[in-house]
Amino acid sequence: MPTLAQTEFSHFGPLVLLLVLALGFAFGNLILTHVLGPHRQGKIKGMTYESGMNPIGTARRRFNVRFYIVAMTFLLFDVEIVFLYPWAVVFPSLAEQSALRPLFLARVLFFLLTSVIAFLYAWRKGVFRYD
Amino acid sequence: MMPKLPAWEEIRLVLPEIGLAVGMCAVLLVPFARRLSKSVPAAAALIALGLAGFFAVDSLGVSGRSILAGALVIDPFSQFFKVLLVVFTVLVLAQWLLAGKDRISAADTPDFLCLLLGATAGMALMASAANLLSIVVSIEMASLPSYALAGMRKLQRRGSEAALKYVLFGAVASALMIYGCSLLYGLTGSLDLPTVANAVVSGFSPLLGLGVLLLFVGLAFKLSAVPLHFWCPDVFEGAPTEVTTFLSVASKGAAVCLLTRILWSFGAAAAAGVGGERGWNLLVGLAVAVAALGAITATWGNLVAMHQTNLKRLLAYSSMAHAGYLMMAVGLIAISGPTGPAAAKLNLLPGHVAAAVLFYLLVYLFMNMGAFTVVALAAQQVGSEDLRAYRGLMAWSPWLGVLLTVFLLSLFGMPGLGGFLGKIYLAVVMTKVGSIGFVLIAVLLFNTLLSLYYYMRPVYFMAFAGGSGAEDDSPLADARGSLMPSLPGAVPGVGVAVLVICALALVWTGLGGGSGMTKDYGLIWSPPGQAAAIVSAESK
Repeated sequence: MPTLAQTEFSHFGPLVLLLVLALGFAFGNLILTHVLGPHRQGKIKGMTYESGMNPIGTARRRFNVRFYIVAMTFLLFDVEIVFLYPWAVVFPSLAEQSALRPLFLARVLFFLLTSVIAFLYAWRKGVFRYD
Repeated sequence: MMPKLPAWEEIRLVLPEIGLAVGMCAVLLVPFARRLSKSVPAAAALIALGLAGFFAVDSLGVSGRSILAGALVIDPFSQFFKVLLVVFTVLVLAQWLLAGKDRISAADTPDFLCLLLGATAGMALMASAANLLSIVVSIEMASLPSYALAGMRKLQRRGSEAALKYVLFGAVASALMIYGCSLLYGLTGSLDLPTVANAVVSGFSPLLGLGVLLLFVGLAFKLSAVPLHFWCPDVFEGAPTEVTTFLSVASKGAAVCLLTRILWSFGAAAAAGVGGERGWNLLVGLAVAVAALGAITATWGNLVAMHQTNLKRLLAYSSMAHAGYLMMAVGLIAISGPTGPAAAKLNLLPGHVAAAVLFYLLVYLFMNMGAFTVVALAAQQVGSEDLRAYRGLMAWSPWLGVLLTVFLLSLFGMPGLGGFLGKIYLAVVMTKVGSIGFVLIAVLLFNTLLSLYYYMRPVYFMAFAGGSGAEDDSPLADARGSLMPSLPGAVPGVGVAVLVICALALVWTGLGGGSGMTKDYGLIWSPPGQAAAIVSAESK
């Protein structure tokens, strides 16, 4: 494993290019809009954009916590999927003809089982009841 | 490349944690069998803890070894701590069943128990972590349930405030620690703690130093050491009393064990001669820095505790002070060792420090358990945790009064009770280090004197302050001037029994019990090829 002195900095070239392009595009557009766009203000023009409809009431009100809990649950299973990706890439080449192959499947299924238990727990707690 | 399956020998050694994890899942699934019950999940949790304790005791005799490709280290030191941890969690559950069960709804009980078991599992892993990744994961596993546990008093502002402060503070501290670990990994090329220690001791550079510093930031947060202690009193005050009890002992104990292990990794590298004289000087600096931080923490905790009027906050600062005392001794393990410059210049073995730490944690467990159980039981009757509400408690319930006095005296360090011997063993470790050690002993004595004031304040209010702290139609009002001062049924007998057990344990340890046990189990694993043999602690 190379230390700091031996790191090939040129390998980071594409990454730096990606960062520069992404940030440059985003900020460039903002700056260009500010510089080149017309500067007109008005009461109707300054209203909140609601896809062309008139906004009803204010956005600063209490929202039901069920949205937050569903988002949390989604995050959990999303991270679980992220862990599945490398396993899925490596699994076909693991222990190709050996009898241990089902065992590797069983290991990841055990990992999924812990998430299933969390899912059952959330179900029982009423996270999915939206009424 | 064929991944290896861990051998059954290795899995056997992690069975305590596996048992706790299975317990977590079992407790969560209980509502499918029996809805809205508090006793069934509690029974499941107790069974899981019993199994974990059985496996931990079963693995007490194993000699130190590194398992799971270097991720964990199982040695008598870690397994003894795990036994203490499981016993302690059972006692915390008992305290919950006695005094806190009614404050948590039946729908939330499985959550509470799952979080408690999860935090216990994380702390058990913290004592065994030997890999940068294990350190990070175990600290997170111990902290995240604690954040939620601190906020278990759902509808009270103080509880939410405690949880929010804990989360924000902990998140930042964890972020810094993980950044430090990533720096160490990037610079040394390995996650393995002994390898990192070797690299740091042999080729120290400012960037490596930054990595180590940030790693210690995370540990300092768990230990509530001085720059990162601000969460401690607010969290202890706002959390339910059982959770406060749990955090004060288990969280700090696990952090002390992890600190011991990390410092000994560095110490073992120097003891093996890595880095020569320069490496040795580096470690002396590290040891002095950690010990100085402990001294500052202890002094700060003792000074601020004098102003507290809430008993839980007072005990929070007291726990900070005790963590400081432990840090003062644990820092010295970095300059201990059976070989190398340590053996040439000093007479300190890592087993000495480990045994002293384990004994102190054993005593500290019972002291804090007892003190907080009294707080919980008294709060049930008096309705407040304020010191002034404890007026006349000695008359109303002599059991609570006398036993709280015993626990407070032990926390102070009265000879004859366990706290005294705990501090003596720490001081013995300090005497082996020469002039630094005597400065540390002076600080220890000074802090002990400071702490006498605030440990005796509750006793003053209970026994000597006039009047009664409760309103006129409470049980306390009837006790004023009565010939039969104790009200039967006011304090549950089981609660008093738990308190008496804790007090007897303190007397037992005060007379020397348990010190032989901790000497036998105070053995920390050294990486092979470094400090050659694991030497057991000799006579103190």
